[in-house]
Amino acid sequence: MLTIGVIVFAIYMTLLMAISVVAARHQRTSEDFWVAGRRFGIGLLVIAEMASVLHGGSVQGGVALAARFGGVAILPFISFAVASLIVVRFFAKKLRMMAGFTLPDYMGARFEGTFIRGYSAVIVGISSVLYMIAQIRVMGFLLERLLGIPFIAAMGLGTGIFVIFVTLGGLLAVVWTDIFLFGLMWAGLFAILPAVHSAVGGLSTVLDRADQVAPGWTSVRGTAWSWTYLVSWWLVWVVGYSTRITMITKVFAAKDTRVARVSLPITDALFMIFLLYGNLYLGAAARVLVWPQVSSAPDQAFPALVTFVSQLAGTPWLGAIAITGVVSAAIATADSLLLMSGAAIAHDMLRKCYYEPHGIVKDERFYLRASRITIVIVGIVSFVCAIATPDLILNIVSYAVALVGVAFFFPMLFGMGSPYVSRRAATWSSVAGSIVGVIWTIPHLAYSAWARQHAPWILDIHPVVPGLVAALIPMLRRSTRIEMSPTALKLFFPERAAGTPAMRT
Amino acid sequence: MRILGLPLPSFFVLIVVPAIIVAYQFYYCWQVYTGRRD
Repeated sequence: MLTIGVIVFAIYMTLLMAISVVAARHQRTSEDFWVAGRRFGIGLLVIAEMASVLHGGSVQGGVALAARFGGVAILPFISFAVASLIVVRFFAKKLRMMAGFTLPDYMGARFEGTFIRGYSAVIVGISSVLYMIAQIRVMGFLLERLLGIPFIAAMGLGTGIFVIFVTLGGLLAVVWTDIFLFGLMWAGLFAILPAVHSAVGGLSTVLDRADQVAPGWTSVRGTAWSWTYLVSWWLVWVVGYSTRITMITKVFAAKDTRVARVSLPITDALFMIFLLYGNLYLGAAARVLVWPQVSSAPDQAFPALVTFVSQLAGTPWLGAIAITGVVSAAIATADSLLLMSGAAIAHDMLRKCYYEPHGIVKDERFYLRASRITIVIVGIVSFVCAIATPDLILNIVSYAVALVGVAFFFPMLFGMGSPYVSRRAATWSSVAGSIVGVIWTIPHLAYSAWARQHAPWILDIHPVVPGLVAALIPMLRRSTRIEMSPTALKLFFPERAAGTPAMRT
Repeated sequence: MRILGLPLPSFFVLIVVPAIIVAYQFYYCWQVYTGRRD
């Protein structure tokens, strides 16, 4: 498979770079770089959202987690559906109306404070690094298998690809290549379907077999999770999916508020159909066929499954194409993340928190250069952290989405629902939620052995639960008057903008 | 009893409930798309 892997990968990278270089020529302003000029129709937006939501870990980490804990337990479809409903009903229209670039843009525009904008940018930066760690580890596992190079070198190569690609072309390049990556991702994964089917049978058969080798595999709680952890897991994905930075950015790129909303349920439905195959079916197949080889390193489950079935079918090139498909998913998501972190530092921190408030004028090229430097730094930091992170890929992703969720969920939900939510309440909510969430994550990531022995209940509750409780408390105290400026009120609550007696001037 | 290889509670949690919520989203978006809702 190695020679074929190198050939497939070389063709693939050549095509990607060609698209990126062409897209770079169309890059003139920050608006082009971060939101592709806000020109997306429904079709393009669905593809861009799917490509950013379906990260490398969706398949690589999803198969690992499903094989280990059970296919139904790890798939929080109820959460995805509820979260998508929240975005469609409450977030999408107002976010698109404000025409920002990032989530910190929303926090800054709605609550009109430099601190809350800067703090939000820091949260986005940290979350991006966590998320990037997962994508880099995915690339490490896959390129190690595809090219036959050591794991660390494979992660380094993956990081290099992410960084070079985004710094060249921005969102326009990301979206053009998303279409290419999107097609390749689906083609790659479905290419191995006949081989997997002949090895383990159809869905009903493989689920029965998974239940036989791992009793409870198809139950709601899976093989090992408690109800507490399951409910926590669902909660993680409700707040995480509804505040998912990679997806929210795409809402900003929609050509109008209607397109921003209509694209979301289509994305949501396709995403879930994809995961039924990519996680439930392939996870069960991995549990049945390769689990004894990978039980000590479950993140190897997908590459091991692909190698096993393609060798069984006598078609090693299929394995190379399938692995390249997941590489595509990782690149598509990592690119969106790097763009986010670049925008968080260059646009939110430097421009909106420092230069513009101090009356310092910098041209577009300066901010584009700053965002490109940020992207390189985030890539390097993530790579270094990825070397030292042993946790499962999808767990790392869950901490990343949880951090953003606890920081932004209530300020978004309440802040877009009522003009009475004050800057003070939103700031406390964001700060308290994220600090409590981070503190609770530490034993999960760094002291899990100690916690398992002395306080297992800490590991039984995902950090998102205490984080959300802490974030909710400041929101419960409602202000008696509207503290928004007329400009912000007109932007977010146009129906109330005229004739509000207690408006701040 | 199993449907698509899933026990009944799992089938409801994984397929039926999410499908109902997504169907409502499509209904809502159809109204937005056709201009019946702002």
